[in-house]
Amino acid sequence: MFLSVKINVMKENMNLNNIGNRKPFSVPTNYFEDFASQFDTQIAIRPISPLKLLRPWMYMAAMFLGVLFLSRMVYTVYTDNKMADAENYELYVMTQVDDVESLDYFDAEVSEKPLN
Amino acid sequence: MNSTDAELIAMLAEPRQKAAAFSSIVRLYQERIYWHIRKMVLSHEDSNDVMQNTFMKAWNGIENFRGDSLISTWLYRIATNETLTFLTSKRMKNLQLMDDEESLMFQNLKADSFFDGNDAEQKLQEAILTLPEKQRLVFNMKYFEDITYEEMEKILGTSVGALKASYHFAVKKVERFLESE
Repeated sequence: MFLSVKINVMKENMNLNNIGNRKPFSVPTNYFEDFASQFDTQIAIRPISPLKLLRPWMYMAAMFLGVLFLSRMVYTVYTDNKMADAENYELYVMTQVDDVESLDYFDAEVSEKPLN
Repeated sequence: MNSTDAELIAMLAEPRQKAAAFSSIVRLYQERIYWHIRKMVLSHEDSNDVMQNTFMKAWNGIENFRGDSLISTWLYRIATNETLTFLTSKRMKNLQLMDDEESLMFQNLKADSFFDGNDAEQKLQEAILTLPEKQRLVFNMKYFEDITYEEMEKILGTSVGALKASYHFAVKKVERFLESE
């Protein structure tokens, strides 16, 4: 009888209005003071590393070097192609003329060069 | 932005005052952040770890804070992410155990020397643990801290309407649990 009355009373108390919104937790003594002090020590020991500060500049330098390397590569390929074209053109011309004309051509080349 | 935030942000911009400014931030907001975490993870030791991670993340990412929001909102956001990450990793670690994570949390809570709730408060914590994590966040923030829906919107990135609905359903579920026991 007493138990069932107690259970009914407990059930009536089991609603949010009766329970309230108190936080039923506690922390060790001086916890917050200690936490803040310990954290101060941590950030004093671990300042932001110079590497982290330099990182954006390092990224920019790497990008600049990359662009420089690529443009150098493109330029080399372009120059090589141009030289190869010139050589091919000379060979092509030589195949289009007969031996007599070739000799005349070399004679003219030699005669144009100054004599030592 | 309030005047305290404006002063602290100005100090943070000065390299020589940065550590002092952050120390003030820790002292100013640590209790609110701690209780926000504690109500989710329940154990003091775990809350301490998550709060350490929260403030360390904030310190390391201080350059990314542009002052678009209140410092408290920014810290709440980091703390919420850290808490959810912590709970997920804990759940993954305990996957092989028979009991679900919430049951384990409640068992640990009852044995915790830093829990001083009466029977009804203990039952309320058990009821809150039946809610999904995101809804638990909303319920705790509104019920225990009375944070405005507008502030919660900025912290959780969920619309005011959705937050109101979530809180409404959370209250109903908690009340049903309390009545059924």
